[in-house]
Amino acid sequence: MTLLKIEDLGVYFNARGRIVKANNGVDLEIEENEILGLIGETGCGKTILGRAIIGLLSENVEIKGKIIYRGENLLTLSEDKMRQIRGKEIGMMLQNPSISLNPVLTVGEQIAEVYRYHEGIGKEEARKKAADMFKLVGIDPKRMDEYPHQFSGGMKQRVMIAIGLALNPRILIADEPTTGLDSSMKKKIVDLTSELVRSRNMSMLLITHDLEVAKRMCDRIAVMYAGELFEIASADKILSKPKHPYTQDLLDSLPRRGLKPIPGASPSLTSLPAGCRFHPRCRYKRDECSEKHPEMIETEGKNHVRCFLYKNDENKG
Amino acid sequence: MNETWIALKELRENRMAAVGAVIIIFLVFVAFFAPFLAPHNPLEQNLEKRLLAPNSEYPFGTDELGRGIFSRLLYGTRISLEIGVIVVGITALLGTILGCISGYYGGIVDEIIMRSVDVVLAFPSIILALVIAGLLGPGVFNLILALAVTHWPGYTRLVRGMTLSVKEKEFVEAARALRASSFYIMRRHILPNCINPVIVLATLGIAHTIIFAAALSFLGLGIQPPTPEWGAMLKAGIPYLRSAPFLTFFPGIMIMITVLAFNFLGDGLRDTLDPRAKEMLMMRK
Amino acid sequence: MLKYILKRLLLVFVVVLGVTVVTFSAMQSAPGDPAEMIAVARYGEDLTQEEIEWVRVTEGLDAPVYIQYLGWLGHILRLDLGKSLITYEDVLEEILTRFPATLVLTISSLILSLLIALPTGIISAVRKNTIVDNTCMTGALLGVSMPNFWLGLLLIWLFALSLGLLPSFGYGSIKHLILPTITLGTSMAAITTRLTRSSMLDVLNQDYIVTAKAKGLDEKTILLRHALKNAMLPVITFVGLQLGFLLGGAVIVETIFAWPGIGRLLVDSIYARDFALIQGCVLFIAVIFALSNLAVDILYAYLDPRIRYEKK
Repeated sequence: MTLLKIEDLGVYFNARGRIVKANNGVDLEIEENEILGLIGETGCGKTILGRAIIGLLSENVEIKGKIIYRGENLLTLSEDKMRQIRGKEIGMMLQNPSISLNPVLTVGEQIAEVYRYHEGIGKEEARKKAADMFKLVGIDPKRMDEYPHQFSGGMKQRVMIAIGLALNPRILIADEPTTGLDSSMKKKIVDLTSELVRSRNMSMLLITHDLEVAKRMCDRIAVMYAGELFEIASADKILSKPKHPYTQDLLDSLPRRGLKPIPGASPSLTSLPAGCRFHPRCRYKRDECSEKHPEMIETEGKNHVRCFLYKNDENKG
Repeated sequence: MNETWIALKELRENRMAAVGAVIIIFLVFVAFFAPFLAPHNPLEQNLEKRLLAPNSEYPFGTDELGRGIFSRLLYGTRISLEIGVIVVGITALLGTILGCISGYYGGIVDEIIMRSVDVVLAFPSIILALVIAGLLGPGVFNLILALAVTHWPGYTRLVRGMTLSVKEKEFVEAARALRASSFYIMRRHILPNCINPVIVLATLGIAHTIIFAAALSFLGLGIQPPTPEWGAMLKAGIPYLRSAPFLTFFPGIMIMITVLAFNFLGDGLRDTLDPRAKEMLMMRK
Repeated sequence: MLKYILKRLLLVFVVVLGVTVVTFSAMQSAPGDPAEMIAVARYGEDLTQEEIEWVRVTEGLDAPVYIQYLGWLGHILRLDLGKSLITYEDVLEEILTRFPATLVLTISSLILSLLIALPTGIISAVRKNTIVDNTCMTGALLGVSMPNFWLGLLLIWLFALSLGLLPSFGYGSIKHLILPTITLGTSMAAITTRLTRSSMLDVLNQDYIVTAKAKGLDEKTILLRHALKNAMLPVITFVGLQLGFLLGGAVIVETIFAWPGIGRLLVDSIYARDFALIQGCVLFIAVIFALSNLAVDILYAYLDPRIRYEKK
């Protein structure tokens, strides 16, 4: 069952007179009980997509398309209704917990307030629930009265998980939950998050640039480049048989596979190349790549790819 | 929608700076051509025409000695701008050099300069200026000295901060590796990085200095009558506040317009030239 | 936190020591022979050179400068600021009689300025780039640019002379306090409004505000609970620095409204060239300023948990 459906989403904003196409023609579905990875390089628009879902982009952006959740288009919901969705239906973990937690409130308060606000319960009761959340994410509830700066990076990330899961949402959006953590802590956080999400039958959108993390957690993976999705496929497929040249390059850049950097740099979102956005860096470039813009096509299984290489041979396989 | 907003905002910022600049250019023009623009001699007394309300001959009326207020205000522009520019010129230059030395060399030199800054800032600046001007006695030179002593620390702090951050950059390291002289590195690499925030601070500093100079003259410790200085004119008008309020009205408006113009320009420049220095500038005074 | 306070305290000590050096050397560098001035003040104009020399020796004015300074510092430390050269009154006593009036004026102005600045700055930030914001910011810029001595005169002209509602000068009742407070408070309000707005804008752009929104909290909770406390931290430091602005402004406002505070005392002593009194006033004001800044620093440390619970 599809839980959340994004149709032809476009996010544009104006930076010093130039239009930034942060997201363009994004189609994506999040199924029930699924962990979907959204991967791409820094600045490709993944974070924007995550924030667009929960309606947290700044006021002066222009959003096109639909985000359908339980039959309703989130983009047209009133702010009041959207507040009911946030936290309760869709939880969010922002990237970089050291600036995403309020420095002047205790970590306990920052979880307890969610209960007090949404469930209208008293201070004591909210505190008890917050303590339960602390235990769940593996922090001693004794430390509830401490402030974020007294916590280590991994601990802060656990607090973020607790905030994201506090109201038992259907979907958790986790934006780069492992940045800045050392590898053993990274593994712990990844395992903890997957376990909690799976055991509660939730879905999750994992936004990351870290392929290793995506591989460890995800059922399906969507690859984003310069504001567009290039490939959507099951995690196994993407990692074993990547279709899009960009996905292939991305995998080749992993340490295990030779650390081969992709030549060139990602285009600026204000001046995108014509045709396929990846063509200046692509080793399979043909003439049509710089002229026509490739559409997303369905390949075998419900997988998708946006590349002219596949338009004839493997289409609808 | 969003495009319009951003465009409007940028226009507003630039428009502020533009309005400020236009007023300032106009004031400079007035200061230069005061002898040609003024209908009367600002110093010539005419006791038969004392305290006349604004009329066709005297657009802003006459003061207690029968001098045309309008003409005196035009000449007053000269003094205020002169003092503002001279004081800011001295303090910006001195403050920048000290800040640069302090940040570049560090150690005991830095300690001495920065503690001096702390000591100057330990006095409310108007009080320090007041006491210095009071001890030295009235007069343009003493006024400038008093204002200069109180106004240099802002530049020193700003430039020191900038120097510290530029010092660590690769191009400075590279220049040092090439055995460039300290003087060369400061002039070539550090000062150009400081110039924008210093310009912003200096523009706002002129506004500040003009108010201070007028305040000291108002207290009788700066420019002395009969020189047509705005603050001194305000003071002279106090006894006639009931019968001839225009004596205090117009000099105040002139001070305010001039100060506002420099504040407009400074604010506008700050938003366009150097958004990063915003916080540092907000914390001054 | 204790370490933080001790550090501040040490800095205050160094600064006050510097202040005494500056004050002392300023008096030294004043034109004229101090011995002669003291003698004139005491015995009148008709003096012989011997009498002046006698004063010089008895007052210790013939000693090297640093000895004079140390002697003077010794007196200061024993809270002996000397006697007025004109009235012969004890300087510290004179200052302490005048200080309450200044305290009343500065505190009421501070309160007025915060009452204006905090709501205006916050509303401006929340309604950024709307008509409300633009109006408030234009008003604030006008306020910053308006000389307070002019504002004071305008207020006297309007409320005292034209409308006859309030007394134009003097001290004693609440009515006397109104015009001086408005004069001193509004210019401070203008500056504080601008700072409050920019601080609030800065906080509203922080990621923890997005987190608060992602929790589904409403705007009011986000503003009051998550933004305000953070935004107030720089404002508090700033208000501390602005106390100097208030003390300085008090000099002018007290002069205009004949308010018998320490600012007016200072101006009068400058007119009279009463060096002992000038010295005493300046020193007193600088120490008050330093101590109030220290108090603000401690308050800040208390409010900011990052300092209160410093990581070991």
